Amino acid sequence: MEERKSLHDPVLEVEDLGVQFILENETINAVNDISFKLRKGHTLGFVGETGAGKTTTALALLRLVPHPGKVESKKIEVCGHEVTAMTSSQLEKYRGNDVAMIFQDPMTSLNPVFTVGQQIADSIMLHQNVTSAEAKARAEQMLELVGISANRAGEYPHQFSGGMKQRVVIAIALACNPEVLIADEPTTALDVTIQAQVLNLMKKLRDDRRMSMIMITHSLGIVADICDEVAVMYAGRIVETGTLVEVFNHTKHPYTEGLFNSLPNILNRSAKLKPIPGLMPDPSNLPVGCSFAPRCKYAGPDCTCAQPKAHWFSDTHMVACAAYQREGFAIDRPEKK
Amino acid sequence: MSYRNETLQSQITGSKDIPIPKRYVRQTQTRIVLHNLSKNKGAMVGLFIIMVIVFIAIFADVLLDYETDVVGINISQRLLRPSWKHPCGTDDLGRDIFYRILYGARFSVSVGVVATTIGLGIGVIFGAIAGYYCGLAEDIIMRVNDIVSAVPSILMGIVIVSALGATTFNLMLAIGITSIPQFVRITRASVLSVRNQEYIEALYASGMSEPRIIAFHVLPNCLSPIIVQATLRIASAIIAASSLSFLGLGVPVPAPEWGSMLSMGRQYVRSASYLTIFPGLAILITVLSFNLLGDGLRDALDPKLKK
Amino acid sequence: MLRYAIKRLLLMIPVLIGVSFLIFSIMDLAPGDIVDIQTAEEGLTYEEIDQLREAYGLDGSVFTRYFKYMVRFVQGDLGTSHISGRPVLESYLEKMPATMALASASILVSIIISLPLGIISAIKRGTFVDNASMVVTFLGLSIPNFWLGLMLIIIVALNVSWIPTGGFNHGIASLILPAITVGTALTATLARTTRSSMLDVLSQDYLRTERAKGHKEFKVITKYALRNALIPIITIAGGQFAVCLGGSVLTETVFSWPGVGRLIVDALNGRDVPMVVGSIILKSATIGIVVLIVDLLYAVIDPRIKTQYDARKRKQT
Repeated sequence: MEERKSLHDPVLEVEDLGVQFILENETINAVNDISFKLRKGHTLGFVGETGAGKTTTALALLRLVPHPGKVESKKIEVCGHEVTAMTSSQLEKYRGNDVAMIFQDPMTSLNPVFTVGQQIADSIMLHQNVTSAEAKARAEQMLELVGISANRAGEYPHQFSGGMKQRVVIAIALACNPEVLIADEPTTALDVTIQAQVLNLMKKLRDDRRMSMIMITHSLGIVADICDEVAVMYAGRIVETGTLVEVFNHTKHPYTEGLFNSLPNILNRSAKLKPIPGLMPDPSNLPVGCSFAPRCKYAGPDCTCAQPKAHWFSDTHMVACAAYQREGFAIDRPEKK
Repeated sequence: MSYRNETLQSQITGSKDIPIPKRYVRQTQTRIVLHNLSKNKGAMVGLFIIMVIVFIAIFADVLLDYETDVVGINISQRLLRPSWKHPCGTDDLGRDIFYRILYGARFSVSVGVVATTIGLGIGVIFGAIAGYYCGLAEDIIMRVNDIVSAVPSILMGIVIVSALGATTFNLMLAIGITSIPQFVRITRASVLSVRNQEYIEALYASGMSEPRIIAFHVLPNCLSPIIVQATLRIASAIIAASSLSFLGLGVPVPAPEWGSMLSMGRQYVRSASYLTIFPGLAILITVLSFNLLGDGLRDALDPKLKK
Repeated sequence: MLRYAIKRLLLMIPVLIGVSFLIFSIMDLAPGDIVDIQTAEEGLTYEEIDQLREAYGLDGSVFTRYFKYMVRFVQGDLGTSHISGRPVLESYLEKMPATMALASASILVSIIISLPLGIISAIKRGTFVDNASMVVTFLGLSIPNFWLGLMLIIIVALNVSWIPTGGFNHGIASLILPAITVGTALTATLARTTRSSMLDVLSQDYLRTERAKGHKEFKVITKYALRNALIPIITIAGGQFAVCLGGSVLTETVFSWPGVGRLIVDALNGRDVPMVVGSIILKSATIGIVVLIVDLLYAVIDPRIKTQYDARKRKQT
């Protein structure tokens, strides 16, 4: 637990990461100049709406951004290696071994023509010097670990239910004991009851193996449950980041406030939900100033002319909002203790 | 191309409901199709060549004098190599190959179009019946369809033409019949998918008669694959027609059908290769144009059909 | 699986009966029969004509003749040729080696060329390589194969003396031109199928999973993607192979190839009814069986289809 509290040994450090998709007649700015760190044994949550650039950020960490995507960054350092400088053979060693990813949709993330056992053993064979029999045995252990009986290793994905498939995807990701696990909305496609099971399984495995984790989700509940730190993303930028307590109890950014206000409150069930008006801007045509300004009730003329500067409330708590340059500005959401 | 952008966008953003760009909203379906089609260079080239060929076919009688230019024998001019006077040379009876090729467009285009129309007409009717009424009618139609399509089409063409006699109409009929099964299958498949839509059920509930529902509400929604199939089918009908003529089972001599010109040129394949080169090129260009147009139409009508 | 295969085989029987009746009745519509041809050639008396018609089984209505034919057919007798007097089955099987050789060579060559071509086009989608190969395949689809054969003869006859331009008697060399002729259209179709099928698969999430495991891109394509893309490719290749096994009439004509395609056309020209009907039944049966084998192959590649075959209680169309 010493290590979990230590602030000074990030396993993953990203500076000024940007991803653009250059199409025939437009350029989509999916991720814009984001920077973050992940500390050993910590879990960082990325929250935001669909299309905020969370998944693209994660793919950039594995250099898996699909074809017309262009990645630019000052630094993507994982476990001491600079990812952008890797040759393809280094990249092959790095993927799955140092960083593994759990994908969003378990229904489509498994190859339909190979048995689940093969798909797990595959990953083991690739990164560890074992015979195929050993890999098979390890694969069966992994299945048991995620709560699937080992004798189903010879079955194909279509013979499994959604929750089971997600467990298989988790088993594949964990098969080589990665340093960092990226989970991209691992429970979105699942039933609520299965969601809880899968989340608990992931928490347990993370703690047992002391992994660092990036959890991508649009559910604030999942963030509260599993994360140590939170980064709120909007239109490809991180608008607020800090520890769980800082972001949840001392919310500073108007967008984060909007996210909380659009959640139902169990203590006051007759209260109306307050959704954020409007839509996220078109990523091919982002405003010059703050991307959230068109939907923000606090927006002033200072918000629309330039990108807001980072405003630090503590060593860890950053907010990108120009309104804090104004004297005595505060959002409506009360601070909690 | 807009489709590609959409899929890309949905890959990037992970979202299926991308706002449709405004410029598409006000356009009608037909305009979108024409717009997509006009962007496809191959299809446009194909369409242009088809228009030229059809023009030649229609006005062949005006452009050329059939008796002297096309079938008139002139032994003193026989087997001349290509020159300015005879751009494609002359054949063993001294007839100008270029003129014969031009006139031959008439046979190829008419056989292609008529044969496809026969296949389309019969195929769509039976396909629609099979797709709309399940049960016995469907079973019978589909089994007969299996039988007809079990015989390879070129062979079926040969059997029909050699049984009925080698005339232009029998050739059209034979090729038309061999293309029925494909139209039946394709129509049935799309009728099946449209039939189960709720608006059809609503029409039925409102008391509209079934033939009317099929003709005015089901079939119009099945048009895309049928149009594409018909265009591609014209291309293969032209090949089939020239194949049968090549075997001596098509348009009777001395009419300048491209396939029968090839069959004649075959005797001189070593000494006068131009007799086989040019009629074949004519077939290739015509077929290629219809294929290009058909392929372009498929992409334009339904990007998801893209194969 | 076995039950499925047996059921499919049984379902072929009514189709074959239908095919034979169809051909039988079309042949009946034909003006002139073998006796007319012989009359024209040899000048027979009316008595001789009647005797011959009876001997050939050409008397009576279509139905009685068809019924008689089928009774013998069920007993395993496909009849004898009116022209050569030899059993139909024997003549047909005699032509099979040439047809088999041509079909196998064509499909082999076209798979070897089209698979890599289609895969590369799919990976390099929209680039020059892709566009060029699509243009070439389009040409391949549009070219009439008998004309292609003639062009090859023109080119080869003038330049390369050791490649024969006809016949079956020069070993492998005699296969070269016919195989290119038949193979061109096959290659074009297969390359396009491979490309579109690979494009479908390449956008699938599970390939991202494979890449995230750290597989080499080459392996991701050739093992994990290709195996998923194979079904449409095998369907087309199998269907084409089946059709080739039925003989390619035009290519056989152009190259004087002694295959079953020529056999049928010659029989048709001579109004040799038992030969025509028998050959077409044999040909359709060959095609049906090859297509069935291809369908069974799916199950080996895709476990989901095997489940379907096993679970299927009744035939669904």
